[in-house]
Amino acid sequence: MDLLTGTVARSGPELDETGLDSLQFDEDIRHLITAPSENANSFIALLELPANQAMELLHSDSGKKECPNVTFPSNTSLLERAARFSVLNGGSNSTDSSSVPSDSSSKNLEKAAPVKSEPLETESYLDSSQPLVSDPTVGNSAPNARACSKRKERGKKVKGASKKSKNEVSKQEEEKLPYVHVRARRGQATDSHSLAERARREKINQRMKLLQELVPGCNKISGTALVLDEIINHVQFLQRQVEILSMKLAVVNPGIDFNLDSIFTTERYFVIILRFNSFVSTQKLHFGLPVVFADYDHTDLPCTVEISEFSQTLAINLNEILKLNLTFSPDKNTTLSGSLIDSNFSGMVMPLMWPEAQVNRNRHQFQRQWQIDALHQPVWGGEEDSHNFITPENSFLSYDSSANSGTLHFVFGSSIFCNTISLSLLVLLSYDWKRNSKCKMMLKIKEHHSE
Amino acid sequence: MTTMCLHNCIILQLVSLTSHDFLCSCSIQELILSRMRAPRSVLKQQFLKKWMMGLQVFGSAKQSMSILERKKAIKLSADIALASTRDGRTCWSRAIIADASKDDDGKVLVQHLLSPESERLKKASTGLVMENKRVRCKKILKRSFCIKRVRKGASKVVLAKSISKRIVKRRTQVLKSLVPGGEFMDDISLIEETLDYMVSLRAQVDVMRRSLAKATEVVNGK
Repeated sequence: MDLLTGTVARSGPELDETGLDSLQFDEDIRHLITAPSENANSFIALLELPANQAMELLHSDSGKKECPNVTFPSNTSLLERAARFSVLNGGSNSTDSSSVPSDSSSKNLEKAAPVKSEPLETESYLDSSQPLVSDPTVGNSAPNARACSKRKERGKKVKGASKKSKNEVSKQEEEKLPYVHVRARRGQATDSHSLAERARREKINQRMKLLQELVPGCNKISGTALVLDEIINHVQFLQRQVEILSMKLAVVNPGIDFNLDSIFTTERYFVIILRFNSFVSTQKLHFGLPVVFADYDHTDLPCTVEISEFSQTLAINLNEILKLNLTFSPDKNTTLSGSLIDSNFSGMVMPLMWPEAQVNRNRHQFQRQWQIDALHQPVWGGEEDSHNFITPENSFLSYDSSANSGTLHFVFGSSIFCNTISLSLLVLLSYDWKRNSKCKMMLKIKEHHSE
Repeated sequence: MTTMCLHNCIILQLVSLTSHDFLCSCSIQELILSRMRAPRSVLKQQFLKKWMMGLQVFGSAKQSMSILERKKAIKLSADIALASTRDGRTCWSRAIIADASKDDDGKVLVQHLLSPESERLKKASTGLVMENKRVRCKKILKRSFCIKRVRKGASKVVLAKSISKRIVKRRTQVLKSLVPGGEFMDDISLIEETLDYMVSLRAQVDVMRRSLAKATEVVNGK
């Protein structure tokens, strides 16, 4: 989950910077990211974010999809309340009692993914003969507004001295969840003013509860005034933080032009696994990175792996083909005789630096790490790394250009293939985040004549 | 041996690279992952992008500015970027943009950041000023007609209630002053706006902090 849930879950009321930092740090460590740096990226945005953003607060971008801005703890009661809130919002719109625009109903508090909120929200038209508050059928009707106002009137008419306790009503609401049904308690005035007031107070209280959940340390406080106090403090704190941070940034960057290409390009790793002989690999070798599988059955031919960018507006730098990693069957007789023969990246600005290994701190470390890591993999049968790996010097290539396609040719001796299980490439892409477009990459694996 | 010249192209479409949690504890992963910058939420990404775009407007002038001016530029572009992520749907964002459009610097930024996007936002921000004036005038009128009643309730409960009401009222006033554009909203929408504003502020702080860390890293590395 995102950092913000971390902060929300915190119980201490203090929000000093060190606290936040350490939490951030924890979060980062937890996610095994040691360099806390921002990674703004529409490349990522197009990564259809999976439902790990389960709790999605807020705003739909241009009304279409939800922004997965995780701020609330995933909490079913919260969801209910949120849905209720959004319902209330919708309710208030029709009655024109508030100036909140109707799309704000989808705004703040549709935080649950629409899938979740929909079943909670819907209701059917209440039959006046029914004594109970609501029998909302779970459908997907958005406009509770009409129904809400009508129900309100019904509520007024149906019972004057109603014996139903408020608890029951609210319990009903909580369970089935749709709308505000304002029902006068026994002995209370039933004129429209007080009912309206009560409705308004209900609304305010619900929203306050949501705010309480958002501000850390507010859960235990009861009473509007104190909660408001906390909220005010929090907002002031955040605003002050912005000031301080912008001051610090101004100090730090006299010379840095905020040249974003260097600072904020995103790099992505993903693993391409080429499978030979239709082998289904049982090993999960990809370390949790996204995997692309390619099956390649004509294993006696050299193959070309071509990674090209598909959409024209994108600039992917095929930065490094980091590691070419062959895994072998337990048969130890195979020898590896592959090498990267040729790679030719179209549109390169700088000449290709391969085959000399580039001096690159990360990569050296990387190499070392790979060697160590080989021992973990049983498939490699304890073979020493030199057999299993194409040696680092050959396999690393890197260039700095804005080419958006690249070709790698791999040629392998044919003796490899009968035993080769899979070939995995760890590819590092660096993406220019400024271009906000979808990224499609094509991975072509072509065979060639082995002349 | 005959080898067919099969031109067997396997086309894979790498359409979605999902963001992933790195849960493995392998050392190599740590290394890889130390180079990864995991994506944060979409909101933050948008904000960062717009912020950087805004900063580029200042571009070369940055060298010649004093620290305070730089700070103002940074903050201004951050605020406008934040407001523009909301696309004019919330009151506070419109208020920020309306305020920023008043002076030259802000105007340039606003145009730069917003012109590819919603026209509605720009119209909304210009219309906001007039609307708020009207609202303010109405409220002044109302207050001048309202007579404060002498509290007759002697019971403690009533007294306590009125005291707490006053406190709450005062606090909401403060909150209204904090949230941009807050003075013109009624209670309910004020709370909603606060909610949204707080979330956005948090995202902003987070992004700024990270970029500060990254920038110091770059500077120190040089």
